[in-house]
Amino acid sequence: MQSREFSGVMVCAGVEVPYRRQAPEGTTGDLLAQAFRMALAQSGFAAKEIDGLGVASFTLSPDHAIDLAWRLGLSPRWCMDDCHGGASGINLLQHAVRAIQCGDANVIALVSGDRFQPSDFKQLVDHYNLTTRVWLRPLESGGPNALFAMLTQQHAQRYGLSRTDYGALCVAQRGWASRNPQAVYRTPLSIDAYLDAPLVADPLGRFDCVPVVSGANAIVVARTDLAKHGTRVAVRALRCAYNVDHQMGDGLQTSLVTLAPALWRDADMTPDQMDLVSVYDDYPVMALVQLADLGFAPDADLRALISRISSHELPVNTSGGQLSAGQAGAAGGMHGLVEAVTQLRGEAGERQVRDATRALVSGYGMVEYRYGMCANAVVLEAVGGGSQ
Amino acid sequence: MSLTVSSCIRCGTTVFPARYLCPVCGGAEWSEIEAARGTVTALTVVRHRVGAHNSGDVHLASVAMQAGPTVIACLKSVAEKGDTVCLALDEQHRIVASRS
Repeated sequence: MQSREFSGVMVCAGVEVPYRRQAPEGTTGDLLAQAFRMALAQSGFAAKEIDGLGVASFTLSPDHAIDLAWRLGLSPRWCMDDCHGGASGINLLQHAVRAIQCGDANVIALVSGDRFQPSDFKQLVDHYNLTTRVWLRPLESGGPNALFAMLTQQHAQRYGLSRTDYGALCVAQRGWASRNPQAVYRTPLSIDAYLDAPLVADPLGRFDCVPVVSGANAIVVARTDLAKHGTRVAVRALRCAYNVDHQMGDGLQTSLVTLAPALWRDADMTPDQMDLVSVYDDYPVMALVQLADLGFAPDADLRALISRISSHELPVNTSGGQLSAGQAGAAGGMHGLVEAVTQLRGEAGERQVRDATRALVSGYGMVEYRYGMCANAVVLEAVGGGSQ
Repeated sequence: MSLTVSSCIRCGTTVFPARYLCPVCGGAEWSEIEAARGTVTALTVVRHRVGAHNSGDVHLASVAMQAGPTVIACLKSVAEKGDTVCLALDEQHRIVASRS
C-alpha cells in the first residue's frame, strides 16, 4: 500500500545527553529532563509550545510519559509511551509525524534514555518479556549476547565470513568515534586488538558487544510553518514492519527486507544516494544483515560492503555507533537518528560528512525469543540552510 | 519432563513458545505434541555475564526440533553442529539437550 507522504513536518532538533559508563547521580527522569531541555534550546521552542511528548525508557518505571510531562510542566494534547527498544526512535517518529499532520499536536518532543547500574541491567535482560523470563532466564544465558553469538556463527558460515570481517566494522566505527568527543570509547582500535580481546560468547569478543551506558537522547518534531530558524530535516519515507516471520525464521534477515522496496519507492531515492547511514548496531552481524536487507550490498556481496564501510567511503554510524559510543538502553533506538540529524544539520564537528544532505536510519530490536522482532527505517533529507 | 510444542489444529503449523492465535491461519485451537529430538544448528559458550562473576561457562545450543520450531537449550554433553540431540525440560525449567 502507498504510504501517505510526510510533508508539512520537520525534525527541528537532535540532541544527546553525554553517555557515561558509570551511572550518574540522580534518576532516569533526570536524564530525560536534561535531554528535553537541550532539545528545546536547539530547536528554539519554549516549553509551553510543546504540546506533544513521547517517551521510550526501560528504567523510568514506575513513572510513564505522562508523569514526565507533569514533571516538565507540560500540558500535552498528545502523549505516548513507547516500548520498542532498538526500534523505538523511528516508531515514535512515525506516530509523531502523523499526529502533527492530523492536527493532534503541533510541536512534539520525543525523549529516550536510561540510567543503568549493573543490577538494573540484569533485571532488564532477565525479565525482558515473558518468553525471556520463562525460557531463557533459567538457562542463565546472561542476556542477548549468547543469541547473537549463535546468529553470528550461522551468518559467518552462510556467507563465508571470519571474525576479521565483523571486526572490520568495529574498527571502522571506532575510527569515527575517535572524532566524536561524546563517544565513551575513542581510542583507535586495531584489528589485532579486536581479535585478541577476551571472548564473551563464542565467536563474539568484547568489542562485538555494546558497552552498557547511562544517557539520553531527544528530538523535536514540528509543523513546518512553526519551525524556527536553522537547518531542518524532512522525513522522505518511513516504514515499520514488526513480527513479519513470527520468530519462525533463522534470524539472518530482518523485516527490513520486506519494507525496503516500498521505503525507497516512497522516498523516490536509492541506497547509493545516501550520504550517510545510521544502522542499528547492537552487534556487527546485525548491522551487516540490516544493510543487506536495505539494499546496500548489491549482489549480496558483503565483502564489498565491508570494504566500503572500512574505508569510510560509505559513512556508517558516524558517531562511532553504539559499539563505540555506548548503548544507553532505549536511547539506543534514537542514537542513530540523532547522529543523522546532527550530520544533516552540519553540526557534527570533526566527523562531519561533507555535503551531507540525505541519510538512512534503521532501528532493530525487541528480541522475543531468538532474535529481534521489530525493524524500521527512515529516509531523511536536510532542508534549508544545508550542511557545511 | 518432556518438552512440548503447540500444533495448530486447523492448519498444522507448529510453534514454540505457545501463542494465542496461529500466525499462519488465525486458528485458536492447539494440540500439544512432544518434541523429544532435534538437530544442533549453532553452539556457543557464554564466558562472561553481567552480574555473574567466576560462575563458570554456560554451554548453549540452538536446536531445530524435528517437530519444527527451533529452541535455545542448555547443552549437557559435548555436541557439534549437525548432531542429533535429545531434548527435555528439567526441574529448573531449563530446556536441556544431550547427545542421544
